[in-house]
Amino acid sequence: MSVIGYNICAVYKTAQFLFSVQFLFSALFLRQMSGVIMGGSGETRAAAGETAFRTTDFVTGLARGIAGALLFALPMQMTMEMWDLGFAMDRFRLALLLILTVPLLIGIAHRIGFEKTVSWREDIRDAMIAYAIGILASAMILTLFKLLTPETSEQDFLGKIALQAVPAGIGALLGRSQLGADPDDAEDDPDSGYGAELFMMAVGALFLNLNMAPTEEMILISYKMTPWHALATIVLSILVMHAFVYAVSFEGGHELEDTPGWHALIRFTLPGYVIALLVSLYCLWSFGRLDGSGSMPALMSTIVLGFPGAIGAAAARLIL
Amino acid sequence: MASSRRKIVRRHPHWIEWTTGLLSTALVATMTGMILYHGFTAKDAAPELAVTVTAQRPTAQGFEVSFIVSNTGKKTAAGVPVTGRLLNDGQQPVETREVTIDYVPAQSQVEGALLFSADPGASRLDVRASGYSDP
Repeated sequence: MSVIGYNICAVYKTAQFLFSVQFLFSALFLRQMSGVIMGGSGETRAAAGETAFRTTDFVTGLARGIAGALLFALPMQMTMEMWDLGFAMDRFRLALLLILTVPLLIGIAHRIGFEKTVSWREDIRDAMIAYAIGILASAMILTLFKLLTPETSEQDFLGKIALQAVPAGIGALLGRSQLGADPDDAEDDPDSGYGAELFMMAVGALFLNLNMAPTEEMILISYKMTPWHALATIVLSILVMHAFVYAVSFEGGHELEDTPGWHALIRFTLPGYVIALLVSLYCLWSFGRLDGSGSMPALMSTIVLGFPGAIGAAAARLIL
Repeated sequence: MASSRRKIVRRHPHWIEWTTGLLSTALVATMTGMILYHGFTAKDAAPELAVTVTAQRPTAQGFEVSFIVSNTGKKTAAGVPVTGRLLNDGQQPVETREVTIDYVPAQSQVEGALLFSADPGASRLDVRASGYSDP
């Protein structure tokens, strides 16, 4: 009786916390949310006046955020290893991941914000709203799959939601920008800086890596590979990354004009690949896949996970 | 629309771009070199498994024996059964317990434990890896 009572209490406390977070954001930013929260274009905002609260825009925005969270996070929410990680993952590594997600979301919000003049204060607000949508969407989906029940222990409960909230939060931000069709989307800015370019590559790499790093297949593939397979993977990763952005002329690709190809290879593709490798190393370490492992197996699994990371990084340069 | 989205790579960028680029090139080259070296030295490699008992402690239903399986070889072993036997004076097994470790990567170690009902301190304890397969 006391155990059940304790767990119900824990569930209640968590739910209360989630709702209070959501309520806080809603209450604090209700005024400014009109138009800025997902979907409102500059023209309509100016016409309606800055103070008017537009329920439809707000609801559309929230719906887009939830749609994005579902679209991007469902593969992870339906992965068994991710559920196990909810309680098996080292608490400090989980906390570090959750803390690092905040500047990451702010960066994404800044890069793909709704208008070019968006301020850091608004970016922080948007990022935290996306994070809250991520938390809510994860709690909803995990409950739907009966992974969260009143019998779930408190640590497990918090861990599962927190871990899933990271990809869901990124998804909520991306959903808002990629699913929306705002004419004043800031993503077309052709003068984006070098740092922004590298940052977007890290986001792309992180996104695909979060999908794949928890699965056992990543380390299994690295154990099956010989060093020669690993070398071929490195070469292919770099080739694919370079070709994605410079050769195959996707929309959003980059033009070299009179700049030699090897300039772009050294200045963009190779740093991008190193970022993909670092992100993959971080993901593997976070999920405890490298514990007790020697340097060579660790390097091999980093290279294996770095391959999808490289493709994610290249795709992010085109899409975001 | 399509043309406005295409970014142009400038011919003469800031020096930071070249510095980052050259550092990255050096890193990728070092990594490739390490793997090449590993490729040449790890020919015909095989796992070298060894089990070390690290601790014994009483539990609610018997005794727990913790161990570390280490693989000093240059090849990963998969599905490694670790067998623990308590032997009496006549070297006859009194109790046998086994646990399977999914992977013991090359030059790495993995922790595990066996649960006995008899006290391992009272008899001779023998713990060894009894096999492996290729991953």
